[in-house]
Amino acid sequence: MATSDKDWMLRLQGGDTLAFNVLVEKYRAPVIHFLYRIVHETALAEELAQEVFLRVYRARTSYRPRAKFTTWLFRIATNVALNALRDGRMRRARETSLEGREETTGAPVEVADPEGSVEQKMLEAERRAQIRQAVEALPEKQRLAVLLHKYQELDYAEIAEILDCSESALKSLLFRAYETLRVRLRPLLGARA
Amino acid sequence: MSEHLREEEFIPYLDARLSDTERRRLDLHLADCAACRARRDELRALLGVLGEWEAVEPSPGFDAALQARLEEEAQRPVWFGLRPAYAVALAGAVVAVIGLLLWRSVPPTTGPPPVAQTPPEVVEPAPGGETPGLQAGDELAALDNPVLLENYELLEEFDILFEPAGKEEKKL
Ligand SMILES: [Zn+2]
Repeated sequence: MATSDKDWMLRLQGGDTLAFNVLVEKYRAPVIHFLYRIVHETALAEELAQEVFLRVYRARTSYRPRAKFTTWLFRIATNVALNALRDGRMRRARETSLEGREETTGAPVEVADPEGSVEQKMLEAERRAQIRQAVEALPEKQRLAVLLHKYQELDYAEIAEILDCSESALKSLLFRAYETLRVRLRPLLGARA
Repeated sequence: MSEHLREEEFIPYLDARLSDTERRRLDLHLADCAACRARRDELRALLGVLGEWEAVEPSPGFDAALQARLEEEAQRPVWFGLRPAYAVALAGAVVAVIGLLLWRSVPPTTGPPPVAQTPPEVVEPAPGGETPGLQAGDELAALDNPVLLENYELLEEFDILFEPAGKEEKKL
């Protein structure tokens, strides 16, 4: 049977530092994705992700396998992200990037692309920007709920624990968030880019 | 007609996380209610559209940067990472303990030196100026018991603490 995250964490607790590498390898991308969707800036998202893993490492001796590992991990990530938002690191990072615009992801647009594909990529980028702005405009708790539900695919019990609410409150919170997004993003719902 | 879907039912319905009974009940209503159906279909489309927002992949240097921060953390004094108030409190506590030990050691006693049980290898400065005991496998121990390791400069002001260990074995 595969070693569970909890087992790796207990091994780390027992002094096996390789167990830490296993957890970093497994959760590096999910944690960076989560933070990136909050701060919209690659370097800052990675810096914060490092902070998350440092905190996991520091807290290894006090870790108790009560909750799922991912609940604990994303609770730490949420705290780190909220601290960054509050201490203004995000604003500083954005001021240094182009007019606060999201960095373009993926390969740069190539001039040699077949006709129409440059326009297609611009359209896709425009849609992504609209989605990002709509999610960003949600109240904080709704936004976190959407990121943890839609993008991290955590289950309701985990998200409820991370956000400190009941499962039924979470389901309503998600519904309201998606309702707002449904209205704001209605122009995108009909056709794909 | 049955009741409209409640707000906390839509998302579990779309996530297919309802029991068969609940799902059948909602399906029956949806078959009759154009309003709930339209909302469900739009929410479903929305969840698809949200999936277009991709995040960046970790850069190749991420692991190395994390490793560097871990090593940096293992090398620095424990109170470097503390909030100033905690650092001051910790420093105060160390001074108070030393004061107490000194005070207790002033009258000549036949007992052992107060900290004779401190292993000498922990408090001896390393020849190269490196902090001892922080290599690879000892990293954990260093983080768990850092005050003695990191503050020997402060402690070595007090010769009484550095009497050779083993000169007087503690007897119970
Ligand atoms: Zn209805």
